[in-house]
Amino acid sequence: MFISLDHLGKDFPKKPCALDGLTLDLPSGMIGLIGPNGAGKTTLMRILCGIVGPTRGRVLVDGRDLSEPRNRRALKKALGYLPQDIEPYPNLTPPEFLDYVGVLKGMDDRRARRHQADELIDRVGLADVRRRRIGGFSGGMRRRVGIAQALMGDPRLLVVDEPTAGLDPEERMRFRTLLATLGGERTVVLSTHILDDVAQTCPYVCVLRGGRLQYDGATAGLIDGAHGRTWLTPPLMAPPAGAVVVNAATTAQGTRYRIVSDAPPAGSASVEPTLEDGYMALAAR
Amino acid sequence: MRFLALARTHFRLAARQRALWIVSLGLALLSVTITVNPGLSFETDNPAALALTAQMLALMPPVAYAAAFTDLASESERLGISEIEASAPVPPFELVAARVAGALAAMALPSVGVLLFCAGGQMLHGNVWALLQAAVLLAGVVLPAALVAAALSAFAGSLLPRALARIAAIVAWFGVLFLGVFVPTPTAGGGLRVHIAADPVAQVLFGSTPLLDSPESAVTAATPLEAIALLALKLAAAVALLAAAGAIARKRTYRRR
Repeated sequence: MFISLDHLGKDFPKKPCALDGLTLDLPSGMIGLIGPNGAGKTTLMRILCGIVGPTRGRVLVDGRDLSEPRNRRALKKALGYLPQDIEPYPNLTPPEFLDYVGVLKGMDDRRARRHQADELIDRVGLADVRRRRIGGFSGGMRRRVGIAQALMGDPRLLVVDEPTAGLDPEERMRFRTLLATLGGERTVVLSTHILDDVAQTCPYVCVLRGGRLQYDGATAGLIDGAHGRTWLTPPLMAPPAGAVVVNAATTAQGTRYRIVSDAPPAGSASVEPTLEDGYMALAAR
Repeated sequence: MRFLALARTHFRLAARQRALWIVSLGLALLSVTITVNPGLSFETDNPAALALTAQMLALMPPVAYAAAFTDLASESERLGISEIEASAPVPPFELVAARVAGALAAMALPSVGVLLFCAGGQMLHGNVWALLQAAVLLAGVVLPAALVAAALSAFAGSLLPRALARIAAIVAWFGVLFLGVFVPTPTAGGGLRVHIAADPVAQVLFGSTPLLDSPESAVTAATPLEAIALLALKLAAAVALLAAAGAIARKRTYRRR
């Protein structure tokens, strides 16, 4: 699936512009969408899912304009969406909730729905609790139900908003592994604040800031932006002035800072940059 | 098929609110015991008795519906499921209709059961048309009242916290009754007596007297046109309240996020 955004803009009454002239081509495969709070990530995903319409510009999916209701309907049939804040109906069991989502997605064959729901429940590791109502689940288990519902109907476009927020490390690893297997011929748009998730799973990344596109391209390219500019300082009493501090570690002698800077303090050691360093270097521009 | 499958889920969700379901059953059973005719409605072959039971079912169990449906419009918004629904290729009106139909079917089940039981009793006593009459009363009297109560509840639920909304919706339901069904009439002694006005559909089709507890009443009976107009008004009010509830719930959710 090839998605193209053409001068996309979105305004909300009495609020700053949520998206401002976004022009972008998204390839198939895993795409990371990162940026600070209020950057417009969720708005962009809602537009991609046909939940809200843009104020300006257009979205083309495989060359078809989403402003046409017919094209929007066709996209929705091939779409899986995991919103940021979702609590599946607490009075339903996982198979019942997935069956409901299957119906919503146009899966008319009841047997096929049940079969896929069972498969997905196994896949997200909820087989043992399949007969329990979701209301009694932990936050992580509910999130897994959310992930499973996004996969109902075997969508070609998967949009996931902060899927690992609130998950414990084991759950996060499990989900990351699951996501990595989903890429393939699908387009997966993954929005998150956890840059490590993007670094591990997405070969392509977009950075939004204030509704504008700050970077789009290979994840490795964003990391490269911090190449030769990422340093680990010697123990210091205060963060070095003018440097972007990515991390800090307290030692007996003082605090060692991981910084992105063109002029590091004396004694700093150059280190291999990560996506976090690349992102911070971009943010500091 | 899709509509029925969606409604089935909402039926299940409503049916699992056991406490409210039990209250609804209690009120439905209580409705059978209220009578102005000789004998209970399942002990005779008199269609007017069946119509009276239907009218009682349109007055009392809706108190439970007013308490039960406060989440009807706001739950999917609050839980974020509305986003999944909005990203699915299902028209919004179909979703709302399935939600209302499913939930209402579950909550109205005791009333339906009671009315069918009474119809069965009447058939045994010789009223061969009792089942058909029960179906007409269900569609024309019981379900429209249930729908209005549910819509009031959904509207209150979109504006107020759940506990307050339940109280407000019950008060509003009694408000509706005092506006249209309870008729204060001066007595000879200078006092005031509250009569219960018969549903116009029951008056037109089953010959119910205009004031149920006052068969000698001189009030003019409703015409078929009035019956249809009132039915249409109930449906329009319910649709408007449900639409407003949905819009308010959506607006509040987006403002919070």
